[in-house]
Amino acid sequence: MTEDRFDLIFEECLRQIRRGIPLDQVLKAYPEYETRLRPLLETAALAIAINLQKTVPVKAQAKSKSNFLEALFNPSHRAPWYSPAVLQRSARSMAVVLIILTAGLVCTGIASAQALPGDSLYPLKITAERTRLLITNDPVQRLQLQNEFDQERTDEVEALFSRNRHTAVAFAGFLTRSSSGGWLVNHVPIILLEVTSRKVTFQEGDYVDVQGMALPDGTVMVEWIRFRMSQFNGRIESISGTEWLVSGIHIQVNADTQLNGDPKVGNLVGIIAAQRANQVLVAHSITVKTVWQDLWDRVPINRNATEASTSEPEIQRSASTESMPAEGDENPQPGSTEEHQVENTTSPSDTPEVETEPTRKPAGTEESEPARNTRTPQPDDEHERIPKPNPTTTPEPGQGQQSTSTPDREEEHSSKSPTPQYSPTPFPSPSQKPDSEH
Amino acid sequence: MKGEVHIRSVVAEIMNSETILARARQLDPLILAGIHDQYYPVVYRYVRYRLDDAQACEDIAAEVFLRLLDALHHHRGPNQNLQGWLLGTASHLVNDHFRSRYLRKMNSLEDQELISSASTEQSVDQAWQNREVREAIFRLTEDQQHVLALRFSEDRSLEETARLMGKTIGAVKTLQFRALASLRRILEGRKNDRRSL
Repeated sequence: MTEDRFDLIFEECLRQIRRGIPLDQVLKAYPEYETRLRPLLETAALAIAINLQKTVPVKAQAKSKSNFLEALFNPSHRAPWYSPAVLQRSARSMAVVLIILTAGLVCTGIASAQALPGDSLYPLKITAERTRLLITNDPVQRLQLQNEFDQERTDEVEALFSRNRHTAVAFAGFLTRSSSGGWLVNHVPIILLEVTSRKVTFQEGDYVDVQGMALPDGTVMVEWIRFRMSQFNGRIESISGTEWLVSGIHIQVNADTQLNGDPKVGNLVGIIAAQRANQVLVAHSITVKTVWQDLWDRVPINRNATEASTSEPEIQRSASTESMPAEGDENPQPGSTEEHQVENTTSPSDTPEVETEPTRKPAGTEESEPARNTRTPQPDDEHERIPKPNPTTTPEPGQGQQSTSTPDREEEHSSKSPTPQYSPTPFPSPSQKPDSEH
Repeated sequence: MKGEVHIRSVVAEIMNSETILARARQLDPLILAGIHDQYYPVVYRYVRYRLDDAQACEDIAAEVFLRLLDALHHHRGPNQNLQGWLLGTASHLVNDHFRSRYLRKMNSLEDQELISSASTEQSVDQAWQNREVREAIFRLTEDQQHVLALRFSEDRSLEETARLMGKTIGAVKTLQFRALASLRRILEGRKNDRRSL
């Protein structure tokens, strides 16, 4: 009830204020409501005071009416959006919108170019760089771009250090030793935990990708580290000894380089190469490609898959040079290794699947490409694996037991290869079984 | 005064009647001309209450009636409450205008206009204060702005306002108190900002 009364009083006060009676005089009649009424009425008085002009301009009304009736009789009279008058009117707003849009894009671009890891615009920057790499078809330009971006990553890490921010970072560069014996990647000090370095054997001059945490003391604690392999397709322009020129890029070919097919000048080839400290690419493999394979490799969506499958050779490694201590090597963990983590193997021609400890005897050619891909046992294969071969056991279809057991052995061999028959482990080697049978 | 209000509400009732609206939908020129004559001043005063720019007021008031024609051509438009529809459309257009004005950031230019127009009718101080109030009103919700403009651009009663807005009287009362309270807060906030400067 009191609310209703208050509402009625408020309305009455409003009427009086509209008539121009001063507020104090209006409120005098309702002392009991003054504290509630005063702020409301003061504000209402201000809102009423802005209503100054009550006269309606006759000219404007007449003009509006004639336009209105004209539009009624001639509905198309209303200027369409493409009429000069409308265009002229909207040109300014369109220009403003365009300027704002352009400015927004440019500002975002500039802002993202300066973004650091952990910033909200940082993913945009990375995506922009990846896009540039994707649309760059020329291998020379792509390598240059990649180097630029790698340098940018390192600059970012240094910027993070100078701002005392510690966040997850990923960068790349040549591995070097500092004067105190620590490791540097592109002059950034890194810390390798035992867990990280256990399967890693790197040496100075390796080009590596590093991911880790930037710490306040100006170092990066490494989560993982791997060799950088450049992969591209090109046409062989010249071959002079170990120096090859492929689509304008100089490639060094050495004894370790796998040559698949018979690459000759003029061939289309796919190259997987490691960057060395003296800015030279050392080929790991050179594969002759057909035009279709080349096209297929250029399909952007397929590129990652191609890289994943071809990045395996990067785990080959020659141990002949001085290498980083690999603390955990005496305890290999078969199967737990990451695809890109590196085992120290003695044989440069080992295939990537065989990640074994350094003491392993060279396996020779037993796991060459066809042997891996086809599960059908081959006589040569058996020769290598079984010290006392019995050539009749394997291919004979009549000896069912033997022929069914052979693929099993094969299966075991390829999947459990990290527990090799030649290793000094106490476990019986899978190949000993058939041996004893014979 | 009272008699005038009474006549207006009676006319409004006649104008809102189904037959008038039905004939308007058939685009009867006589009826439509009558609607324009009847409501242009109402719409103009509503817009003028919320905007201090006379030219923009004329443009918006004219646009409201062109929108009505558009709506009738497309078989849309008001079902019962013609005046409410017109004032609601005016409210949207005023808001659009405010937004575009803020986008253009033409404030410095308007200061000039303000001072030149103020010298004739009112003191500069008064003009400043009115502008502050208008800008504060612009910060209210659309409904709150609409209710203040309906109530104060003309001496409309609660009942008339409620009918135009298609709301109950209770809802309009609440809306109006909230609008006044918010407006006061905004104005005080601006005053404090100025003092702290």
